[in-house]
Amino acid sequence: MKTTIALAGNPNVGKTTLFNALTGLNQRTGNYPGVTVSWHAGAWPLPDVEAELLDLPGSYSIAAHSPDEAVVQRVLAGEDGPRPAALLAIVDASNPERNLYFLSQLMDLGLPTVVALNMVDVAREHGLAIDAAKLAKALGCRVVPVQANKREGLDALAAAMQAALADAQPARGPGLPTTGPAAATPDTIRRRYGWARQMLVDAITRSAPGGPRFSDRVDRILTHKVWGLLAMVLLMGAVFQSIYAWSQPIMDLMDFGVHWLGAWALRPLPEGLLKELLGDGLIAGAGSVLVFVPQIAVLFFFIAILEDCGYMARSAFLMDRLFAKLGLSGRSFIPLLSSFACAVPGILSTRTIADRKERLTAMLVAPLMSCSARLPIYTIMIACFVPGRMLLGLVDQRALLLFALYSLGLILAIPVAFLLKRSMQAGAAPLFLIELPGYKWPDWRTVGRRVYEQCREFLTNAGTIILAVSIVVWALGAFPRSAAQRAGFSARRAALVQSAAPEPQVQALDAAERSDRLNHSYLATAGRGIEPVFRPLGWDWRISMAALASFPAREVVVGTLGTIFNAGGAEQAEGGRLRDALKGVKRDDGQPLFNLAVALSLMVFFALCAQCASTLAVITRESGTWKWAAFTFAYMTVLAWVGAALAYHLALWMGLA
Amino acid sequence: MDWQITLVALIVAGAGGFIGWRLWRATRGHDGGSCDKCGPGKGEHGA
Repeated sequence: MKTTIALAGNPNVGKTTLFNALTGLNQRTGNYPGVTVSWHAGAWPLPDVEAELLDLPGSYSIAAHSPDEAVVQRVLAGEDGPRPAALLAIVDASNPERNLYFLSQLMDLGLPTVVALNMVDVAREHGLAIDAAKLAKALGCRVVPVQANKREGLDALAAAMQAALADAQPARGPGLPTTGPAAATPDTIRRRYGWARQMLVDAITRSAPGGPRFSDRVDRILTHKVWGLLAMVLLMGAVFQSIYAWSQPIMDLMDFGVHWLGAWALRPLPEGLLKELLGDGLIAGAGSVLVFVPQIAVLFFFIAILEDCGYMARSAFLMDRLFAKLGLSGRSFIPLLSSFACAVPGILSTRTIADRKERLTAMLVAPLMSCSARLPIYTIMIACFVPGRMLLGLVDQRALLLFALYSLGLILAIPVAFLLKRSMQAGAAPLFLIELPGYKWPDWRTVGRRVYEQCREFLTNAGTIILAVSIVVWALGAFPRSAAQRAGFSARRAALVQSAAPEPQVQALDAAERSDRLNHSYLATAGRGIEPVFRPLGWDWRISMAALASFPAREVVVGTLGTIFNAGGAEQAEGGRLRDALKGVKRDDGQPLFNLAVALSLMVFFALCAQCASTLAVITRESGTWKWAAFTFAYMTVLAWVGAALAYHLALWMGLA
Repeated sequence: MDWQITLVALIVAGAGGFIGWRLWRATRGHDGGSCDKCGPGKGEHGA
C-alpha cells in the first residue's frame, strides 16, 4: 500500500518546483498565485517506502477562505482520500516568520513532519542566514535545506522523510486551534506569530541591511502608477512587434512546405472524391492551420519569459489600482492574465478568489481575453488585408493592430465586470495582497517547456478537432451533386480540350465548376438561411458558416475558411494557399468578398465571441450550473456581433474598404 | 469509384462522430484542457 505524503506551504515558495524535482513530473509552475489550484499526485521514490506525494495549492492558513484553500483543508483532514501519513512542509527561508506561521498550523495537526528549507540563496541576498540544525532542534522535527530549482538537497530530504516515517513521531506545534472561528482570533494569530519568532531566535542571523535591492530599484519604475503603465504598454508593443518580425519568415517557409508536401502527396492519386477530400478538407483545411505554429511559439516564448522573470505579478499589481476604482480587486486580474494563454486555466485559477460573486465575475469575463486560439485568425486577416507600414519609423501598423486586438478584450472586460458585479450586488472589492517575486533571469528550460507544451496542444487540436470539422464542412460543401450540371461541365471541358484551349481557360472552368457545386450544396442552403443575421457585419454566407462551424474551438475557423474557399474554387488558390484563396474570392456581384472592413469585422467578432466548447464546459463545472455558461455565450455573442458591426461600418465610413 | 465513396463516407462519418463525442464530453464536465500527467485534451488532473 502506498504511503501518502502531503506537500504544503505558502503560495510562491517553490512547492511545485520541489514536487517536480522529487517525482520527475512536469506540473506547471509559476511565481504568482493561482497556478496550482487543485492537488496533483506523483510517486516519490524513497529508499524503503512506496510513497505518493500530493502537491497542494499554496495557502496561508488551514482555515479555508477560498476554494483552493478548501482543497488543502480537505486533503489534510483526509476528506479527499486517505489522510496523509506525513507532511513535507516547505518554508521560504527569505520570509521565515510568515512561513512558520503556517508551519505552526501544520505541526498542530500532529503528523510526522519534515521541513524543506527552500530559497536559502534568496534569503542570503536579503541578509538572512538560517541554521537548519538549530531550527530543527527548536521545532523538534527534521529540517533540510534545499534548492528545488537546482535540485540540491533532494537526497537528504528523501532520507529525512524515510526516517520520519520510520519514527512516526507526531509533530508538536504551539497547540492552538487550526479550524473554526477560534483559529482566526487576534489572540490566536498573535500567539502563533510569537511561537514563530521564538523558534527562530537561535536559528536566524541577520546581517546589516545594505542599500535597496536590484528588484526594489527596478520596481520604482515598473510599479509606478504612470511610468509602470507606460512601461507595460511599451513592453507589450515590443512583444507584438517581435511576433510579427520573427515569425513571418518561418511562417512563409512553413506555408510553402505544407502545400508543396500536400501537392506532392496528392499527385499519384486518381481524380475523384478521395483526392477532393484530401485536397480541400485535409490540406486546405487542417493543413492551413499548421502554418501558425511559429506565431504560437513566439507568443508563448514571450509569455513564459515575462512570467518567469517576475513581471506578470507586477502587471497584476499595476492593474489593481485601475480595477480598485471600479470596485474590483487585482486578484480578479490574475485569472484574466492566465486567460491570454487559454481561458480554461484562467477560469480554474479563479479558485483563489474567496468571494463567490467576485469569483463568478472573474470567471465570466475571462473568455474575453484574446487566447492563443484567436492568433491564427488575427494573423491571416492582417497578413492579407493590412498593409505593412512603419508608424513613426518605430512600430509596424500590423503589429499595432494585433496589440489593439489583444487589448480590446481587456478594455471591454473592465466595464463588463463592473456591470456584472453591480447586478449581482456584490460588496466592496477585498484588499488585494500579492507577493512580488524578485526579478531573475528566466530559466530557459521552463521557457522551452512552456513553448513546447503550447505548440503540442495547438498541433493536437489541428490533428483532431480542426481536422474533423474541416472534413465535415468539406462534405457539406461538396454535396449534393447534380448529374446534369456535372455532365454540362464535362461537355464544356471536352470542347475546350478539343479546341486546344490554353491551360488557364481549363483551370477557370474547373474553378467555375467547384464554385457552382459549392453554391448548390447543403452548406450553401444552410448558410443562405443565416446570412441575413451576419450581413450587417459585411459577411456573406460562406464567412457566416465558417464562423458558426468554429463553435467547438475558435482556431477551427481558419481551417473551415480554407476548406470552403478552396472547395469553392477561388481564383489564385493554386496549391491551396489560404492567403491566395482569401484574396481571390469574389461576391456574387464580382466584387472582392474580403477587404479591410470585412477583415476588421471578422477579427473583432473573434476577439469577443464565445466560440469555445471547452471554456463553456469549464464555466459550467466551476459555477455549478450550465446557466452561467449559457449567459456567457449569449452576452459574448451579442457583444461580438455589435462590436463587429461597429468595426465594419466605421471602417466603411472612414473609406478603409 | 465505389471504394472511394465508401472510404470517404466512412471518414466523414468518423469525423462527425468525433465532433459529437467531443461536444458530449464537454457537456459531461471535461474541460478539454491540458494535463501534464495525462497529456493534452484530457482535462485537469486530480480536480
